[in-house]
Amino acid sequence: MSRPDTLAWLAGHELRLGWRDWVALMTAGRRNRARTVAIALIVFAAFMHVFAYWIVAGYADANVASDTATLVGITGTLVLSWSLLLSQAMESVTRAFYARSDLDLILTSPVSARKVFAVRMSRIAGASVTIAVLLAAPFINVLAMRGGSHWLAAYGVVAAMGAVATAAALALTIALFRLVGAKRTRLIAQIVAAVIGAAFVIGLQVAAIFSSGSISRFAALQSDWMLANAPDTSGAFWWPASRTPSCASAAGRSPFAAAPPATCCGRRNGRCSRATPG
Amino acid sequence: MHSPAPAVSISQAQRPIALAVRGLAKRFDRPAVDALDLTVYGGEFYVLVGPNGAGKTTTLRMVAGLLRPDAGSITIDGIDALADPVAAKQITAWLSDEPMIYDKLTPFEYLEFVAGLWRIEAKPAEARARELIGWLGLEPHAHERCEGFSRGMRQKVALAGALVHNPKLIILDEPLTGLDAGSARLVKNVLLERVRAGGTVIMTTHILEVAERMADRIGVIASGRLIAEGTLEELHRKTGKTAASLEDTFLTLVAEPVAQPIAAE
Repeated sequence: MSRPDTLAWLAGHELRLGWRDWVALMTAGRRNRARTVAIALIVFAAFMHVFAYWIVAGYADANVASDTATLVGITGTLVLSWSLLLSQAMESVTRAFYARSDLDLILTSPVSARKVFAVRMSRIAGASVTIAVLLAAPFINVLAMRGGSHWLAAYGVVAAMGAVATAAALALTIALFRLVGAKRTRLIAQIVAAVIGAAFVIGLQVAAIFSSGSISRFAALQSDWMLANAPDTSGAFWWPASRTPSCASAAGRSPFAAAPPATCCGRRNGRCSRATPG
Repeated sequence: MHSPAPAVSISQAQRPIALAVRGLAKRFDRPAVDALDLTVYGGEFYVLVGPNGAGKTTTLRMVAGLLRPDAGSITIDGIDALADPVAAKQITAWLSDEPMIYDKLTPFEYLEFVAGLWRIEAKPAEARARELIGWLGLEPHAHERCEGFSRGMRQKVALAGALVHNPKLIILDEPLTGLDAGSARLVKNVLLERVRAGGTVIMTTHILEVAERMADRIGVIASGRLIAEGTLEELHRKTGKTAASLEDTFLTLVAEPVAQPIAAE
């Protein structure tokens, strides 16, 4: 047991609350349902792995070429995944800083506010990373099984995306706090979180409908207009996407951040799949 | 029943000052607290009353360290609460009108956590938690999670949390709101017991009978300023309604235009 008023002690408190909340959410408050829920989770995880196998198994040995179409596809997928993580993180920041009424109790105690917020931010980062990793896990596992253990490095990249999304969410929320004050921050942050989460997807869909008459979000990313107007492939703009294949070479062909969804994009789109044979 | 303190002018000179607020100001869209001066003495039960939006809660939140004042000073038991908030918080407890307890913790776990916030080591914290749980009649529920507790039980747990570090000054914002008669009686008894033991209590309430029966002194706040202060008799004298209830006196006071504070001599 750690000493009171330390970071570890506060983190232990947050973990205990988080765990009990999660168990209550999963079991709808009935502890005797734990076994049923555990079985359901195992079945769901197995289903997700089968689904992931169907989507990405053929791409485990893919050699991702750095042409414009591929880079646009990967970048689009990265932005999409990251914007969803950012939206989720902003919602969590708003809840942790403005909705949790225990702040009154904690901030009237002699415990350091800096420690409290450090632990709270870590919890948000932990939750974002966990969600991102859990969603990506079936795809990464399938790629690792089929293509080799180097794909497991994708866990690190996905975790980094979750951490960066949390940092950006905190920065955005603090900026809002300074701009509109504490009272309005909560409401505006929730609206911004929803808009960020939806805007990119809706934007792509609308662009696809208008540009190519397709309802596929990726149609806009792979349209002639997009490819003709995309920055030069050697530019810094493509660094995140272009690093992913390079990382693969550097780490014995290691993976990239949104490898599974990007590969999904490849499977769904002719242009993308040209660059990802498999 | 707790009897009101003797004439303020006699006792005040001998009592240590538990809370001194000077020129306190806080502005949101409009001034919420405006150059407020307030003195509460050690071992005193002080009740702040006032209309909605008068600045009572804002004042107490500043004293508790939850809001930073725009101007003024707050001294708790001789400690400058703005310069050394940690030392001031060490001897203070805050209980809001919406008591915060964790649904997923048992009262026992909650009290251990709150004790930890005040840096009480595990063993003494456990002993203190057991003592408070017994005192507040929570033993049958000590190891049940708080999620199913009634408002009265939640208030008891929160009150136990406020007492776990044995504070010198307890600040309560509408602690009796929504409580049934039994729970309200218990909360009042606990607070009076604290005062008898030498602690200081400052609380806000809309229930004027509570102020009338429990307070050593009553402060009347309106538009962010203390417009009157004193024992019940002193307030009656100021309004010239010697046989009136506090309600009559209060309504007379707050109906007057807010010009100069008329604090007790």
